[in-house]
Amino acid sequence: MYTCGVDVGSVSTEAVILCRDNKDSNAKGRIVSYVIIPTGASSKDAALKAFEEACMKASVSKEDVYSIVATGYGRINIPFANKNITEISCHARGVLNYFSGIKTVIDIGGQDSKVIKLDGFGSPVDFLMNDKCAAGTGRFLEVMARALEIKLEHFGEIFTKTNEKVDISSTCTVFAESEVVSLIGQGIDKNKIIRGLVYSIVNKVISMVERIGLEEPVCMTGGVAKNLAVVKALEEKLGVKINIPEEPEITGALGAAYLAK
Amino acid sequence: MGFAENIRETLKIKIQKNLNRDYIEKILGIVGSWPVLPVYGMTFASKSDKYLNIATIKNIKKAYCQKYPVAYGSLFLPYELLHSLDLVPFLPEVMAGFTAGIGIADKTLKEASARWYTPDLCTFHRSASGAVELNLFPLPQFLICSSLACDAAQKTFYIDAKKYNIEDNFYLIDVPYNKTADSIKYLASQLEDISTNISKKMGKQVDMDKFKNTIRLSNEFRYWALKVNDIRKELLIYPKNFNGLSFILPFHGLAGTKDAVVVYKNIYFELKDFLEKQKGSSGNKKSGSNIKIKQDIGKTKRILWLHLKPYYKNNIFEILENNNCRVVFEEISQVYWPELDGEKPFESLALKMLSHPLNGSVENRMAAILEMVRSYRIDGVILFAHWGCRHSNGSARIIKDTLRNNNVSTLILDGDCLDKNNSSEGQILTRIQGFMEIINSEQS
Amino acid sequence: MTEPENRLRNISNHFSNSFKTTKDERLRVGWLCTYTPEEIILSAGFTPIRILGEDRVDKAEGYFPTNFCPYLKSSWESILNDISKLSAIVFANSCDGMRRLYDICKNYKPQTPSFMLDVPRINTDASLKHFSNNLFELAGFLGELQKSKIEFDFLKKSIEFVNKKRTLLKKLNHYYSQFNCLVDNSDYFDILKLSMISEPEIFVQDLHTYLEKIAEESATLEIVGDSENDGFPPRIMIIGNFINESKLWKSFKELNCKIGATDLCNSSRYYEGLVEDMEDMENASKNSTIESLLGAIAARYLNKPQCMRMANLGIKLKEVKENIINNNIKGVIFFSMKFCDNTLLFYPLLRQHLSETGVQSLFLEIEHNNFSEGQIKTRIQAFLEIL
Repeated sequence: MYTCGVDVGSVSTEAVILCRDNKDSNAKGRIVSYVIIPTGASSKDAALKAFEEACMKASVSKEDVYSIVATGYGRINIPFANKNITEISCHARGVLNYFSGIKTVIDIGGQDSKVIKLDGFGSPVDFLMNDKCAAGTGRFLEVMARALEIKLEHFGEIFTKTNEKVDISSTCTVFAESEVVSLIGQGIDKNKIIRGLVYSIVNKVISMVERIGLEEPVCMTGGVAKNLAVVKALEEKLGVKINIPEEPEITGALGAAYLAK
Repeated sequence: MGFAENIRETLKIKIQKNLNRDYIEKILGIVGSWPVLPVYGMTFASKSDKYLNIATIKNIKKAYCQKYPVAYGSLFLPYELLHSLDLVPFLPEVMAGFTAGIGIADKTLKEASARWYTPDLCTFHRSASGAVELNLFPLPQFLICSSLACDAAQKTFYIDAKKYNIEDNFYLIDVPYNKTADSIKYLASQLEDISTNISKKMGKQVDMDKFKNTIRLSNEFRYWALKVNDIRKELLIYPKNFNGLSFILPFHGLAGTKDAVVVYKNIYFELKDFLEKQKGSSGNKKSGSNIKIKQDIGKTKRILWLHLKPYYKNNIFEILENNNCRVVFEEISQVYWPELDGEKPFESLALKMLSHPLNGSVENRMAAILEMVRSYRIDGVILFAHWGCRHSNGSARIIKDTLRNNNVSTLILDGDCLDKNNSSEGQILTRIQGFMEIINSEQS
Repeated sequence: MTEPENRLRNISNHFSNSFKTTKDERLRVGWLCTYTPEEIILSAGFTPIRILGEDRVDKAEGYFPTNFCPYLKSSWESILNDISKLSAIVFANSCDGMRRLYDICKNYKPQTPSFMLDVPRINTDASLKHFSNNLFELAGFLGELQKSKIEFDFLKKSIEFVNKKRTLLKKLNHYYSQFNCLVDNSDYFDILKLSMISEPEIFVQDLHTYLEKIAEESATLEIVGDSENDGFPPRIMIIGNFINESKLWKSFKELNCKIGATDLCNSSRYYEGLVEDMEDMENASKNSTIESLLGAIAARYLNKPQCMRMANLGIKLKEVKENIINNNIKGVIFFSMKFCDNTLLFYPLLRQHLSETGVQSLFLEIEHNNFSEGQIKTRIQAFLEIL
């Protein structure tokens, strides 16, 4: 028995094939395969492609997948999905696969970030999402990495190189970029700028955590969870340990696969 | 699109193409004339909307027709006072909602930006100011505003007064923070002074009989509004397109008029019918009712809506209904004031203003919200966080925390009532759907 | 311009006593809005401390929407962190934001006693009376904290004292605008800042001594003011809300920008205008009461240079106009913290008025404690070039 979850995000689309012993969404399943592909221009096409590739990778025929749940911002128009459920519920369920009793999920994705409060059993009780701008999201870091001409993956090691930081004042991605460019122009150490940028994104997320109230244990999902610099800064500022799933990017799709009945 | 919708769309496009005061006056002159107005009213699906729209057109037309002295008024004014002074109220903030409704908000907002109104300002005030700058609104003789709840109206009204060159006819009613004997007296004295002052400028004396009459009508409206609110404690099925958030004018610009009474009386009888049918259908599913009941009434989640809604075309309320949720009450529909005393009009109206839950401390608003949650057996609260509304959004944290302590979930729904470019439909959809998933799982 | 060798720089030397606030044995009461009468706080035996909101917004962000007054947010940060060890806080019903800050404080820090002072937006006999009554309530609140009542003599003395402080600050402003080489932007605003947060009696002593030295020094200088008036650089007026940014004042100096007048919540709007009719009261001292003193205080606050929150923006325009003429101002920099609707909505009016009179204006918005120096500097420099 297989179910599939497809998470159609603004940047990437993930699909997870889950092997289930029974239809109870609380029962543990086994991840048979997963894929991550860029979403591109059509979310419909991306969803189908991700689903097909995941089936192929798992050597499971499409017909054997008895239920498919779509999630993510492109979840609405996926013709082959049986149901659509928001990322909020899916991330909440997804983290349960890795850790038990999680109370707070911090998800920083490409275009939006959210903080979800859980009941400890994989159901959301409250959530907050960032306001419309991209300042607290993965996109922000990408734009800044580009301006600094430094690979995003290297932020983690650079982050630990210095304790000093420059304050990035603009909360807007576009303005922050020009601010970064002018800081570089002033000859300021790139390491300090990176630290400043990381704190700028972390502060945005923390204000959401504050609003909703922090409860441990905490888990972080979404692509940015792979960015060690952000995780470290978050841990330091929140004063808690943050659990990271093996594949943080697929948490949404995994949760969707669990919620497929 | 139906025939009626077609006509309304055509009118919208005509106004969009001929954006000036005279043209708006002309269109209102046609739509607002007999027998066009009753026919126009019939294009609305429900009686409630029909009477609301007839009253609205009639009163806006009156403000545009240049036969009566017009006074701009901000929300939360005691409009009974304006009617008693024979002034025709015109509410720029409410009209700003119309700018979004008829699709001209992008133009008015752009104009405001060009005139240095900060883009971080609430779009109601920006759009209204843009419309004033574009000469779309009728010429006022007076501008009256209050300091109740919101800072922006008083500032934009002053700028308007300056533009029309009538700064001396700008009045700010300074509403005290607390409701005490002293503050009632202070506020009442202002209301009285303003009445005397305006009457003098109009070359007449304050007519206390007029006050008595408008206060009687205001009380009559209050009576029907309370009855409507009572019915809504049970009601889950509503006339097509009915939205409680549309009924702003009867509480504001129409307060103290026969029109407000007529609108609410009609809402009452229409909703009463629906309640009877709802009761009938829950007992006997095969009843001959002509109202189709889509939702499973027993499972419908009851939502309380705080603040306002978007006035451009949107599907928020459809999404709610599709998720088996129903807005059963709105913050703006509260009858928060005691019955007025025609013998003491100024004190009564002062007390009415000071009873407004948005005045003073958030404790007042919070107490009112908790009371609504209780009376309407609310499952979830949605606060529409209109971009740039400092006074309402500034309380979001306290509202959310307090409701959480009372085991009620709250969704702070960020958006913009007027500027659709400032709201993301996708984000709104995700938030609402996520919220519904939470509410539904809570109770299962 | 060459700077005199014998510089009076380094304010910390001149005001060293003011910096030692630890000696002050009185309890401290915080205030935020310039419509809060310090004289009443003093007369109740407290040291009034202005909450400057200098803390970097961290925890506070979670309590307010993103687009909310940055001054209030950082003020909440310092209240939350107990930076100033305040025994109580007096809020004022000055604007939407301040009302919400009071709510937040009451809800999330109930252990700190707080008072909401209702301040009218209009200036009439009735509003004056209402405000006097509110001041009476404030006096009651503060008295109760000390388990006593405010005494007539104490209040009268406090009024005289705060009047003296205002007079001295006004004198400081005179030297600042006439002898910029003696008192520069940073000195002026640093001293103003001290005036709001140090033990008042010590500060007044320090300021008195400092001004005496400045007076001596200035006597040896020609009045540069006059030559400055006709020549370069053109004199600028700064209008805005709470602009307490040391980085900024340094930038102005670096750009050789001469500020001829300021209209800010932490400058003239704080010290201009005295509590008057004290002499009349002296004569009628037999029947003067606490209420009559409070009435005089109320009148000062409603008549002082207006905050943009007041109803009649026409009066504000008039104040600006007079300032421009009296100080020979060539350009106006309108400086606002973001999301302050009251201030920001004054600009469309001001801009129109200024352009009619041929005075250029520059519009700048900043986030409190947090602005991009480069961007602001470029704008100011370009503005000066245009002038």
